[in-house]
Amino acid sequence: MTAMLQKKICMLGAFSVGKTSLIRRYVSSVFSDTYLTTVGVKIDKKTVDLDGRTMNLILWDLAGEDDVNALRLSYLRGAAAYVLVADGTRPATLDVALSLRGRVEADYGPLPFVLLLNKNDLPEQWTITEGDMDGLRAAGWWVRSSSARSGEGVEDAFMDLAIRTLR
Amino acid sequence: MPALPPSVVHRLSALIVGERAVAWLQIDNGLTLTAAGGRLDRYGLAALRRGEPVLEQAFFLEGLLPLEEAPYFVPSMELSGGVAADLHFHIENGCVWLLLLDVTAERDATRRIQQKAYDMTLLQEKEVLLNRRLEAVNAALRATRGELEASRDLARRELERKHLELAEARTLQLALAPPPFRGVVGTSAVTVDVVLEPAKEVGGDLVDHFLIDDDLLVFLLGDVSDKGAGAALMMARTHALFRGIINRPDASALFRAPENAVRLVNRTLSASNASCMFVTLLIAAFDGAANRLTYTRAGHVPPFLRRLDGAVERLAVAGGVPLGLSEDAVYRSASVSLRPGDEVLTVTDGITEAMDPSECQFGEDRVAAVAGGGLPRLLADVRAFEAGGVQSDDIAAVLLQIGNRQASCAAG
Ligand SMILES: Nc1nc2c(ncn2[C@@H]2O[C@H](COP(=O)(O)OP(=O)(O)OP(=O)(O)O)[C@@H](O)[C@H]2O)c(=O)[nH]1
Ligand SMILES: [Mg+2]
Repeated sequence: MTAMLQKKICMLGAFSVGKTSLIRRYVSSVFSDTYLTTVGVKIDKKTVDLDGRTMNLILWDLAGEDDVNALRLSYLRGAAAYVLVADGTRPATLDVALSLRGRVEADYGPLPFVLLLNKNDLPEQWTITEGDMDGLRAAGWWVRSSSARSGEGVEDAFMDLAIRTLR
Repeated sequence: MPALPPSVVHRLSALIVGERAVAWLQIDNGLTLTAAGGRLDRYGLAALRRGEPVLEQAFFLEGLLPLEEAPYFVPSMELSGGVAADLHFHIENGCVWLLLLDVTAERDATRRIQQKAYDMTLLQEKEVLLNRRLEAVNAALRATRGELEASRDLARRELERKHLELAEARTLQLALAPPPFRGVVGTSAVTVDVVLEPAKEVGGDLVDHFLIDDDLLVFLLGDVSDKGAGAALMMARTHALFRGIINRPDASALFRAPENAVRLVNRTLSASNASCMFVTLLIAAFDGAANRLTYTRAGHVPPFLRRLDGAVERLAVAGGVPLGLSEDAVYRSASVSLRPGDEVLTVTDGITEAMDPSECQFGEDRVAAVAGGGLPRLLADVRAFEAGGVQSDDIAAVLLQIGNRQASCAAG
C-alpha cells in the first residue's frame, strides 16, 4: 500500500468574506445566508481525483481577521497551500487579504495560493474592478472571482490549488 | 514551581479529566498510532486502529507531524460533531503524545461575543456605504436642481424678451389704426371714428379709412379668423395690400366699386395662404357728392345704419366669401343712400359676441340699441356687459357719421 496523498490547505481572509461558505459549497454542495462566525479553526476533508490519483484535501477553515483578532499564523504550520478570500462587495477585505499574504510569505515562504474575490453573485454591490484584478494577475497572482451561493469558480479554485501542491 | 503534593495532583487531574473530556494518542517515530485512550468518542475518534498510520485516521494531524517543536499547542480546533478541542503535543521516550481537551463551551462563548462584534461592524460598513450612496444621490439631485434653475432662468428671460417684442408689436399694430377723421367729403361733412383693442398683445382685427380724390371716403373693417401673432401678421398684410392700392392710377375706379379692390387683395391673400387663415371684411366707399355708400361685405357682421330718426337698418347684402379662401372668389357690392344725420356703425364679432359671466352674448340687438351713442358709449356698454371678465376676442369698430351739408359749399 502506497502512502496516502494528503495536503493541508488553509482558508484565510477578513471576517465574513465567505471562507466557511466556500468550504460548505465545495465539500457539501450547500449554501446558507445565515452568518455564523468561525472561532479558532474548523477541519474538513475533501477527497479529489487527480488523473487517477486520489488526494485528500484537509481544509482548515480559519477564523477571519479583523482589527482586534489577528490571525494566528501558527495555524498555517504544515500547510501545502492556502486560499486567500476577499469579499468583492467590501473593498477593505482585499486590503486585508493582501496584508495576510505578506505575513504568511514572511513566515512560511512562497506557498501556492489562490485569491478568490467572493460573492460575485452580487454584481450591483461589486466594487472591485477588472482592472484591479488584472493588476494582481500581472504580479503573478492567481485571481478568481467566485460565489459560494452559486458555486461559480469554487471547484476550479480548489482543483487548481490541489494540482499546484504537487509541483 | 514548587512540587505539588500527590493528593493535589490527583485531584487536579481528576477535575481536568472530568471537565475537559480528555483523550490521548501516542504516536511513534514512524507516525504509527501506538496507543490511544480517554474520551476518544467525544472527538469522533472511537474507531482508531492501533498499529496503523495515524495521519490516515486522524487527518487533522496532516501537516502537524512530525512535530517540529515540543511542547506544541493548537487552540480551538473543531472536529466532527461541532466539538472544539485544544490540542496539546509533547514528546516523551521518543513518542509524540497528543492530548485533546474539550473547549466547546469556551469556543461558543467566544463566538457569541465575536458574532455580535462582527454583525455590528458589518452594519456600520453598510451604513457608511448607504450614506455614501445617499450623498451621491443628493449631489446628483443638487446638480439637477441647478440645471433646472438655469433653464428656468433662461425660459424667464426668453419670456421677458417675447413680452417685450409683443409689446413693441402691439404699439406698431395700434399705430396702423388711423386717427379720427373730421372733414368734408364731396359736399358732405363727415366724421369717422375708430376703435381697435386686441384681446391679447396683438390681434387680428384691422380698421382703416382714407380719402380717394376729394369726394370718396373709404373705410374698412376686417377680422382675421385667428388671434395672436399669426393673426396680427395676416392683419398687417391685408392692411398693407389695401394701402398699396391707394397709390395705383386706377385707385379711384377700384375703390368706387370696392368689390374690385377686394378681388385684388383676395387674390394675393389666397395665392400664398399656407396658414389657411381667412379675413372677414367690410369695405365701404362713401361718395360725398352723390351721398351714396357702396359696400362689399365679405362674410363680415352686417353694419348698422342708423337713420336720423333713430330707425336702424342692416347693410346685409352679401358681397362674397371671406378673403383668403379662394383665389377665384367673386365679389359684389351693394349701395345705399345716406342723408345728413345718418350714421353707419361697423363692428367685429368681438363686440357682438362679447360675453357676460353667464356666457350670454352681447348680441346684435344691443349694438343696434346703443348705435347713435358714439363709440365710447358702445365700448363702455360692452365692458359693463362683460362685468370684469376677460376680453375673449379682438374688438374693432368704425363709425361713419354724415353731418349737415357743408355751410361753405351750401353758400357757394
Ligand atoms: N451573496 C453571497 N453571500 C455569501 C457568499 N459567501 C458567503 N456569503 C454570506 O456571507 C456571510 C459570511 O459568510 P461566511 O462563510 O460565514 O464567512 P467567513 O469568511 O467564514 O466569516 P468568518 O468565519 O467570520 O471569518 C454569510 O451570511 C454568508 O451567507 C456568496 O458567495 N454570495
Ligand atoms: Mg467562517
